[in-house]
Amino acid sequence: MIFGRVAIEQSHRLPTGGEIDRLAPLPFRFDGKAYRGYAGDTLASALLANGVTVVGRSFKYHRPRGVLSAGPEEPNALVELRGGGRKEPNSRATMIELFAGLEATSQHRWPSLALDIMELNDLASRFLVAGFYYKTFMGFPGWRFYEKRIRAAAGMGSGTVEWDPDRYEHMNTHCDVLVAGGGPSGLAAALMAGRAGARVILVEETDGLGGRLRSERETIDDKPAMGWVAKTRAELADMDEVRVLTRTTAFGCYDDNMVGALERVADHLAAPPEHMARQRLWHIRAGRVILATGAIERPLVFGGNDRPGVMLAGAVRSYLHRFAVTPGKRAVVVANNDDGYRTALDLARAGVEVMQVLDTRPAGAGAWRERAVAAGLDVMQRAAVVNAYGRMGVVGCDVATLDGHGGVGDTRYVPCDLIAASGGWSPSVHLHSHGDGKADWDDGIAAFVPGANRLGHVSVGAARGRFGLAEALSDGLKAGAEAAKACGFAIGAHPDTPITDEIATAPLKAIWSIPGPTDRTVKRFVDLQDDVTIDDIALAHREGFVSVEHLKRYTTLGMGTDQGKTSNITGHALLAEARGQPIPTVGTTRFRPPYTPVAMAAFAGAERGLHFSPVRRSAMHDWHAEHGAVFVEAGAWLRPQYYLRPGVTKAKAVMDRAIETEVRAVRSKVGLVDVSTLGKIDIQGPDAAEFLNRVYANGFKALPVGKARYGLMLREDGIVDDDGTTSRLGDTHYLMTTTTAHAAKVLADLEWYLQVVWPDLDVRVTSVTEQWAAMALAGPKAREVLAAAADHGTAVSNDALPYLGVINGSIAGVPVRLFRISFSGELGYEVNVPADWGTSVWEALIAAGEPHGITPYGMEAMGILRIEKGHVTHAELDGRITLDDVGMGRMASSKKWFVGRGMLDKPAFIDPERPKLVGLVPVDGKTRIPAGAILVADPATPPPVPKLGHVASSAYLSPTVGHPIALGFLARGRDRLGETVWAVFPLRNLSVQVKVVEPCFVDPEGSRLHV
Amino acid sequence: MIRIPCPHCGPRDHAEFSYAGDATKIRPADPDAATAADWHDYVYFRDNPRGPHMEYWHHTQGCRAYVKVLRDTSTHEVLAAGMPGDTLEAGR
Amino acid sequence: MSESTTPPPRRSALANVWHPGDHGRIGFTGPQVTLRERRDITAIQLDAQRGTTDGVGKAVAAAFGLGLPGPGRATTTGDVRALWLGPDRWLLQTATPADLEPRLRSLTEGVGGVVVDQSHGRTILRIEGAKARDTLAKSTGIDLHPRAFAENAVAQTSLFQLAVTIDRRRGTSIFDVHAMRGFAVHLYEALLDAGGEYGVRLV
Repeated sequence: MIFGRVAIEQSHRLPTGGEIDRLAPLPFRFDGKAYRGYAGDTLASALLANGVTVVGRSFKYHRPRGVLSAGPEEPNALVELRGGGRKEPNSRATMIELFAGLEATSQHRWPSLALDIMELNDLASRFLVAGFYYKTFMGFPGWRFYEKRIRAAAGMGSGTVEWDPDRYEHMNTHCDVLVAGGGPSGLAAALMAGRAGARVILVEETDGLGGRLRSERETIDDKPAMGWVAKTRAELADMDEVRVLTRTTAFGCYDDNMVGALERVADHLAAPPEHMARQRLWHIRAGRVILATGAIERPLVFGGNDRPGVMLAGAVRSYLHRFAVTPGKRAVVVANNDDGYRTALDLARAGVEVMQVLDTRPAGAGAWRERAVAAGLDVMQRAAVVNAYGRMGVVGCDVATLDGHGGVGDTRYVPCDLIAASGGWSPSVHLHSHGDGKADWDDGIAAFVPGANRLGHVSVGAARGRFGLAEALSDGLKAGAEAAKACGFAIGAHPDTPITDEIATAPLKAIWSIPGPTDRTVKRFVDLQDDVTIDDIALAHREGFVSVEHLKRYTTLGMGTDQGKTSNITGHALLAEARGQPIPTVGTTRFRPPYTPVAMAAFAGAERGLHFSPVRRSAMHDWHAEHGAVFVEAGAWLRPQYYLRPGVTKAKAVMDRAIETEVRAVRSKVGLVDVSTLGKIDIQGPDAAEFLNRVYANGFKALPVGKARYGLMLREDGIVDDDGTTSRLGDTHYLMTTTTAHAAKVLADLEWYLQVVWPDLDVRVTSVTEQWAAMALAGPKAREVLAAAADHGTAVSNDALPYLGVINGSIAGVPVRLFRISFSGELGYEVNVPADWGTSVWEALIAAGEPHGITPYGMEAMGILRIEKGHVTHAELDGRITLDDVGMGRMASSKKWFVGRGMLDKPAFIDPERPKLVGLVPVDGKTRIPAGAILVADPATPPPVPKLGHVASSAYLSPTVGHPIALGFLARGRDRLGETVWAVFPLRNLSVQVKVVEPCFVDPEGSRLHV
Repeated sequence: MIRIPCPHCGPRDHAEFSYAGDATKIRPADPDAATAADWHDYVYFRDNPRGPHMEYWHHTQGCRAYVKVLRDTSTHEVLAAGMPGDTLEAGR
Repeated sequence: MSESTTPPPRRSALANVWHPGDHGRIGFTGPQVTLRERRDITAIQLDAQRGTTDGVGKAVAAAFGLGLPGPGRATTTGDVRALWLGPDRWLLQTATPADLEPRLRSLTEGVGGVVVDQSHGRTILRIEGAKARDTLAKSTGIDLHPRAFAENAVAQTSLFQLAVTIDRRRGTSIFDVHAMRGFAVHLYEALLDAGGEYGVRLV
């Protein structure tokens, strides 16, 4: 491995200080090489402590890149973390907490970080300007070929196809006041709201509270500021109604103050403990939202500003103070604000040699400058870095004075291995923006600050551009009190704002780009993650992409995983300069959730695998499973598809035989099928009969008590919606059945008509699907079996229980409802049983049927039985079908109004060419007719072949008639009986010549039903 | 997540509800008097306004009530909610 | 024809999956969630036809000494608990296998009551313990905090994608969850999964 320098163990670690635990050294590996850091480190701080400056390659030019920041805004230090099913690409090294055994690899490089062949892109970069790939390759023959390779070369890390072994889950909560951000302003806000008794949630992205205070040397009430943080944390911990969530990012604000937050429960561990989630997605419904999200520092744009070792000044202070790491030994500091002096002073104090302090502002006095000068630092005003050198890490830079008109004075080379740069701070207005918040331009800080926000979110402290500590604290206290008050809590005496020892800062002076050498090989980067340079923005402007939205899409500015946190404002400012307009006129793009990337697994939560969607089981499920049922999903339900005899393994031929056996048993002896899935709706009330008469197309008023009737429902547009039987159980009491698929919809529709359309009707409807297990006993021996199973006093003779009769009875001591109805076309009964007794009654029927060869049957046999009879289901009633289409036009009552009647005369409905239901059999007597096939007159016709209809459902074999059969819809089908057409299935290259027949293959007179 | 103030259950996540259509459409009350054009309008024609819109939401996973909701389609803000027969005004 | 018998024992939808014992992560203090199935409950849905709410309420009050609760509430007298389910709709439940349904019919049908037996249609799981609330909060959007959902509060809501009724019983952390019987196994598995980090004792 070739690295810039030999890695001496933690060569850049300060001997004292920081929030790290020197008693807890942690071994880790980066690109296969072993290192050590400490508990409290991030991967970035641990790498810097070991003198590792190059951590990745850039996206387009594959230039070596180092760590830029110390926070969530990091554009460069993206790594692949962990391996196997846990591999996470594009993980920000600045946000990865170090743990023992951590393994990470760099991205965007091949074959290695030090030697990357794609770095040739950098040399060829004059051709790789914005839009290059599309301009060059798109439209070329072979774009698809190039696209694959271009995308592979670009690469944003690689994911994994392995199953993620970890748990993810959701958590819902409500609170009065949500505070996003655990810095000084957020802590102050939570404290005030908590003291008032409000339910408060404080979310903090990092592992600890304090925000910027962790990275600065500040005091509160004359003591180190972190002492105040500890005291506040302790007070919050004592409050029952305050919850502090660290390692939790509020990533999005949604409607009605729903805030999405991601808690990284176990990301700081090698693997989550058993039963613990790795990440938890919080849905927080808040009364008031306080945004204490801080600010993000902007880089300066100068030549070679992407070199490893060029770092944000604030990040340098974070590494010094929070992690006790010196990111370099010899530093140059450049800034357009007083943070340059602050950083230089901190570096000097930590023993780093400060080679030069550069202030881009015109000469002038300031307390910070005076301090720096007094400390003996070499300060140059109206000066900047114009070019940084060092491919694998900064080795020095050219500095020069600025003439203020785009020119520079003589350059001077300064050797250094660290350039700390600050272009000022931009408030993190992202969450504010999610809530429809406007952003106002503030010239004083050269950044957007939160404006009006429809959801009433309040931004405090640095998040609204108040960067001083005293301001942040007073802002937080005030906002916390006001939020609690708005939620109805009484506020006690307002405490004095704690005293700080801040030094007055001189105003920032924006400088969006530093003039550079004319040498075109020197690049000045605006967006480091997307490799967008100042030249790309100029080119976009020249080519007419003058709106920020167009600029973004053309150059990909801000479109990386960092969403341009360090680049957007600079990019827009440069566009504004090019257009000669003020920045607010050019505007900023709107931020959308998530603030930082959220794993898809976190959104899925526990709803994956078995729990992806709830599974519904009938009361007899366990019996089916014990008796060899092979289950199939039917909507949410698991239903027996067919039964295998014990010891038989599943195979196609076995399945076919099993299904045939089941069909034959029903036609010749008797079978039993679980029909619990059919929807059952209890309908009661004085207007129940009138109600049914309106929702069904056929008449229901004359249905006598103790009788069932088949009914068809239409939609308002006249299309058939659902069918089923409805029985009259009492004068004002009905039981409706629906298809399995539409059970929920039909209930919702009935409620709709009763609540919204006909509120004058006095009817109560409720689902009793789950109360009653249901089974259908069918076959010539059905009555004998039922009679044998029925308890004394339950008579099932043809007189006692005639066709379409309904009675109450008892089987195995269980009160049941018996319906003489049939879906199979055989003598049949449906038995409804209170569900907890479903298995008892099922077993009683099986026992009673044993002498008659009773056979349980599944959905496949049921499907064949009903196709043989021409009974339609949702395979036919697919949402396009009218009553006439299925030959039931005469069922529609002409004596009454019913839902859908007003639309029945539509021209499309009475078009004689409309396909009508027909039966289909293969002309050769053996070829299967695929469901979904298209019916055509002649498959040899050159395309486009006119479509005559389609095959709706198919039985690969009707055991009863001895050959395949199908139901379909055919134009003028009723006139074509006896003719032949072709069923074609081009996707499988199938065509079958079929004969058109009546859509009923067994017992067309229905004589078997009435025995 | 939109929060819909169910008149019976109080504010609930919209995920508990099913959208049930445009509440400005009135079904022809007297079918004998309704023309084909009336049915055509009721069944097929919907406006797609930007701003306040009257709609029905069915509290399917709650109390099973149909709730009338005045909702701003551009902001998702629920301006008022009530029973199907209520006349809604913003802010009530 | 068989001899008439009394009904056999009722079979729970969870009969095949319920394994009593401790599941998940068990800390020093033991499981922080206890789960039990309330079996053999009689649960009768009572509706009032239009304009009969008062009459139905009076009939129930006279017979059971029980006021029918308003929206989002439950009331209890003796062995009978009444839960508000929706406008003019309640669920009356009792653990004593009794003649609740016929009694309600005879008491209320004359004054506008509509009675529907739902005893077998719902699976009722009782979840209690220090982490019962957090376990439920993993998948329901309603506010279970005692300030918002006090004793005898009832909500019809969504839990693990299911339509459920959550009934807060006496005490701060006892909840009855009613779900459709067909989804009982899903609910059971999902609760065990969600409560795994706290430790779940199945009774």
